[in-house]
Amino acid sequence: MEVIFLTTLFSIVFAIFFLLLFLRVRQKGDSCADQDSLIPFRNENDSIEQTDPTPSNSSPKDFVPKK
Amino acid sequence: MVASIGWGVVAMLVGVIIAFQLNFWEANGHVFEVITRFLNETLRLRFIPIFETDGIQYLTFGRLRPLHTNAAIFAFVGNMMFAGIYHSTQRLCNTRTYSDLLSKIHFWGWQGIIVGAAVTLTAGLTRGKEYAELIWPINIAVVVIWVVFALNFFLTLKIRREKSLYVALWFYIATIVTVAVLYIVNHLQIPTSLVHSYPIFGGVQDALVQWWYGHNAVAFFLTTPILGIMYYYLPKAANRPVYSYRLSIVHFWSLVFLYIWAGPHHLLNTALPKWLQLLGMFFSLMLWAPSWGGMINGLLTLRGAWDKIRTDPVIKFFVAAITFYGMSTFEGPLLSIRSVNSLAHYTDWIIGHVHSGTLGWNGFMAAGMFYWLAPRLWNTKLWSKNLANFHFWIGTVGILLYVASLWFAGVIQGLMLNETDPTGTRLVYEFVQTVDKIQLLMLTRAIGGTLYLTGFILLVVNIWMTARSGTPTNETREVYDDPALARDRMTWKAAFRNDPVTYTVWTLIFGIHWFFLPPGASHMALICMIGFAVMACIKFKQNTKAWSDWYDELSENYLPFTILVIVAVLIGGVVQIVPAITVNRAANVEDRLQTLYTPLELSGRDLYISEGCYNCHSQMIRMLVPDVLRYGDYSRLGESIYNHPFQWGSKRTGPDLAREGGARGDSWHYLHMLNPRSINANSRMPNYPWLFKKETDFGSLPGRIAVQQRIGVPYPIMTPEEIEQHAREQALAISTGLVDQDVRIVVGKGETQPKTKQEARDHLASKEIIALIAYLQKLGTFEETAETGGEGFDSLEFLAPQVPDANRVTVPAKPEPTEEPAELQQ
Repeated sequence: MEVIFLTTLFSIVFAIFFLLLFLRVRQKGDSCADQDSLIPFRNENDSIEQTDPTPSNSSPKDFVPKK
Repeated sequence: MVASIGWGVVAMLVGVIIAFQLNFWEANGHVFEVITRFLNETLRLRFIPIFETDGIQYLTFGRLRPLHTNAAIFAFVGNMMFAGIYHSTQRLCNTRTYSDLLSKIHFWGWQGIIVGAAVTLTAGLTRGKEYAELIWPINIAVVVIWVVFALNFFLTLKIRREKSLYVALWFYIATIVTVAVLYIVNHLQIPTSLVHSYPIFGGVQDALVQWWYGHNAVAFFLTTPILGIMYYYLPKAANRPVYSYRLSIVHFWSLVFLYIWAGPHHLLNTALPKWLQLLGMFFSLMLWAPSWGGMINGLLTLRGAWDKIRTDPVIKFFVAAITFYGMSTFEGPLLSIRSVNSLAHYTDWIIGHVHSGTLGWNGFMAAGMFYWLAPRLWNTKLWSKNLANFHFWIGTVGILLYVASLWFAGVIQGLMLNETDPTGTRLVYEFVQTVDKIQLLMLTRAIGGTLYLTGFILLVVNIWMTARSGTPTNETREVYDDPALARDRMTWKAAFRNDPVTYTVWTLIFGIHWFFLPPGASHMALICMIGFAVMACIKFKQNTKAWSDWYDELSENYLPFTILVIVAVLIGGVVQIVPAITVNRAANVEDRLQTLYTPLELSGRDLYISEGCYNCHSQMIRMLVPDVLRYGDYSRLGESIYNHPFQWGSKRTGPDLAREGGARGDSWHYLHMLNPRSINANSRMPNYPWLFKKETDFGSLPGRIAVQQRIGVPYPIMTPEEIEQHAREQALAISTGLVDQDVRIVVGKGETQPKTKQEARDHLASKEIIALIAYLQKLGTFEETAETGGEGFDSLEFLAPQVPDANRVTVPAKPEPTEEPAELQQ
């Protein structure tokens, strides 16, 4: 029982720690590391326009909201 | 990409076939006789000859299941991973791949390996370890090709024109180095011939190494590279950067550190030492946090772009894939809890869990990536978005049918197998009753798999038509080559001698000591661990910028980064595996020592492995009341100590065989292998008619026993003639008994039926079935020995894990445990 209790406790503590870390990093986004998230978009030269990520010959009908 | 799609069809097709084999035994080859007989006799198409067969050895479940898993993991996902890595790495590094020649060697070498795997696995050439079945020459080829891949990848990093390594590259680095370590350790073996070998580890050591590898094949072949692909292709498809780059840092390091520890959760409630089981469970539960961190990071990348789900099939596939990732990484830790595992292990629940990951996460990520890549690779538009959408829906329905039916099947089977009468001393159901009960669900599973395969074939059509409508892109990019680009200039001191590394290392060291040291000292270690963790937090708070700058600099230096990744993944492996493989064998015995296989029994064991019997039958009676009631006394460590490879199994499509020896007569096994329906009308097991026709390879036995001796099995010294004679005498004794019981003698085409009993005995004695019966009758035999910690362990007693499994202590230690080799027993 002691082991199961400790295991569960540790897992919960770890999850909370992870969550706090997650919330904290979202609040402080001033590191240069955040600039690295733009690397995939640097030197952009895809032959397809980015406005249509999956250009197709056949497309579903345009969505028309119900009146 | 094309290779991945092609092999994907093969893998899924074989998967559908084996799913139907679990419903209809005829699908193991006899179906050809049924079809040709129908055409010839019923439809009177006389020009079609009747193909008479009770089963085809190349098409049995035991041989096709490894083909399915290897094709799905290494051919389908492997090629998809390589495509994604090569495509994205060039763009993330802003340079061309280092060497086109290395790329070509990698590609064609890998395809050659896959073809070799397909041929050898169907031929019954296997090492008998799940996902590590390929024979040793192919293992060497895998290592060589992996080194070529690694060389090409790291040299591309070296010549990159981008200062920082993007998060996707971190996952690729972790994949390459960890797979190399796992593969080499789990494939340490000594060959006996060009196509056969014995692993150097046996029994519990082999079990531990195998599932350290097996679990992390899932982690570092099916998860980390696909996460890297997610971090590149999802932002590209959604046209916005990843939700939180900092979260991806936490996600990456916690995932690669924790994953490697979780392997023992595949061996819960078995004879594996309890401290290892708990360690596996403990880290599996902790894995939930980083896995869901990654899932959240992926899904929230779509913030403000959720409307694309409605119109863009690529986003649709990615979102569903990430959701399935979240579901299966929630289910994994759940199944790793020992009490849940006692119900789920060895049942179809595990198969359902695995397929929610492979079909949902891997398969849908692959589909999304292919649909995104195809228009760009052929400079055109996707042929049909509607078809891609239809693929998505038919695939999703297929997965749900597949996974849900196996969840139900697993829970039903687990509950039925564990059910006892009110006194708790008698089981309620026979094993075969549980198989009958889930028949409809197994059929639903096969239909779900067929739907998924149909969707994938639609992808093949769509990509094929897209390629035909365009021309291959020959892309040229102008890049700015900055001669002053400061990258890979971090000194070793700056990389490793700093607060983040120091505090992490000390916290880990004390954490490990907390687990291993005896009471008292362990509490001190725990206090020290918490102390260092608190000090790390304080230091981080005081000097956040220094910590942040260190990591920014680290991500600009691929070599120190790679070394830290290796350290992070090695810690778990070292802590778990080194104590288990260095400990004196006597410590792995408990109170029973396996008796050695005779030469004929060893030959039978090799046949058992070759036919893939381990895919359906375990040899491990867990320390659970229903297991013990059904199969006999629970398995001790010493009872499989000479098994190279171990055969504990991971799934019970049929009953456990750990104590099969002596439970039934030779003639029962003879008839059962010839036609299981003659013993049990509802059995799904294939017929094995070829075992009654093929000759036992007596000539190879001396070589095999010599290798067994080299890996530590204490066979007495015997000449090759003695070995062969011993095997033939035992075979003759078994065949004499069978002939005396008037069993039906099976002869091959062109052979004449033996006329006398003497002829029948001689005929039968040379056949493989006799060796297999000898092996089956040996299962579960042992000699009593003393309960001991062993000399090696005694001398390192202070390192003994302090989580005892008191319930397993059964026999008091004898004063002088014998270490003499056991004699051969007939």
